[in-house]
Amino acid sequence: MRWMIAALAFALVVPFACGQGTGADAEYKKLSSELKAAQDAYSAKVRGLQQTDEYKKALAAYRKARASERQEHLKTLRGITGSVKRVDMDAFKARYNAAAKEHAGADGAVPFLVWLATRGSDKAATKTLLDHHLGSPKIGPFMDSLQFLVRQGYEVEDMRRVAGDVIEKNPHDEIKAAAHYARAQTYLTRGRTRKPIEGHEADYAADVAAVGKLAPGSLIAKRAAAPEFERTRLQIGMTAPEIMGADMDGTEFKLSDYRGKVVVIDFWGDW
Amino acid sequence: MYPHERSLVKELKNKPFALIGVNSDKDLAYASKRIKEENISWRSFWNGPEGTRGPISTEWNVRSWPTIYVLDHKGVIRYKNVRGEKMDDAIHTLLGEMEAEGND
Repeated sequence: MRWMIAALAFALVVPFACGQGTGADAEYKKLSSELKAAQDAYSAKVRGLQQTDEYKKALAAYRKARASERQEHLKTLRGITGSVKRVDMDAFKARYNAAAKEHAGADGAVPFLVWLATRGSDKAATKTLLDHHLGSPKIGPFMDSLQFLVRQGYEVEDMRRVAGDVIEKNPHDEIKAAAHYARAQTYLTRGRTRKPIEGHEADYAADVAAVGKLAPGSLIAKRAAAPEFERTRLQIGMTAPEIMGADMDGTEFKLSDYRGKVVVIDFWGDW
Repeated sequence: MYPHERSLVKELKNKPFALIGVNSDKDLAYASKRIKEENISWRSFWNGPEGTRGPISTEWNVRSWPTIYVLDHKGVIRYKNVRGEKMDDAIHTLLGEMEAEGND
């Protein structure tokens, strides 16, 4: 069923994407929706196999098995889903690369380069972005995943310098906000409870404040303010903040509709 | 998780109690299908197409899943991240408090 939805979405999205915008933007959208459709089709096939009796039996056996025997059962499970052909990422990388070359030097190249740098771990693409595109209106998504630089051998100082360059060179407030947010993250400790690193408390606070100022009400402002929000609004004994949104059928409702009842809020997902 | 919550919701059907989910599946159609399959009767906010990075969980600084908050009837946060029996105990304590207040 899911692959049908995916195929249908693909059929609808592709002509639509082609009709939207011109040149590089439309090309990027088309390539991205092709990739997404391929990935959706892959996971739909895997999920389909996971619904078969063969897989369910193997899964039950795996769950019952002793720890020492689990490896063997895991192999069986992987054997069942492993027959699905994976998405040919190298082929996609080549297409992103070709498009980046075609639009080299222009803003149109940036989304392709960001994809190559972040999803494709392409160091040359990273360097091109750092050297030529930090002022681009399309560099925002690059800021959102700046921490990947560490995996390509850059230091924390480099990340801060890149964010600083964007703040200085880029004329767009929402991109400056993303850069401030990215830099704020470099001032936090690693691990589950992330706190400002000693000596960087003021740096952290300044970047968080800048995000709120540059992009008020945005998701990134919420994300930047979240640790402080939890500290000051979500502690035991405090009145829970309002949640407004839509339910799974699209009907708007709010948390306070349930005032007068004992309420359990459960942040969940089926994954 | 689902069986426990299902029985809890059923058991407390006639009590002033509500389980409110914040569903963080990116794919709304898939989540809706799972809700039917698992017979999930309680209401959920949908956290949007960004999944776990959607607006509600972002604002509430949720970084582990599931995350649980238990509120009393006045809307005050009374427990966090209680699971299983501890969650049941928390709910019953708060329902008891509410009843006691009503009798005053």
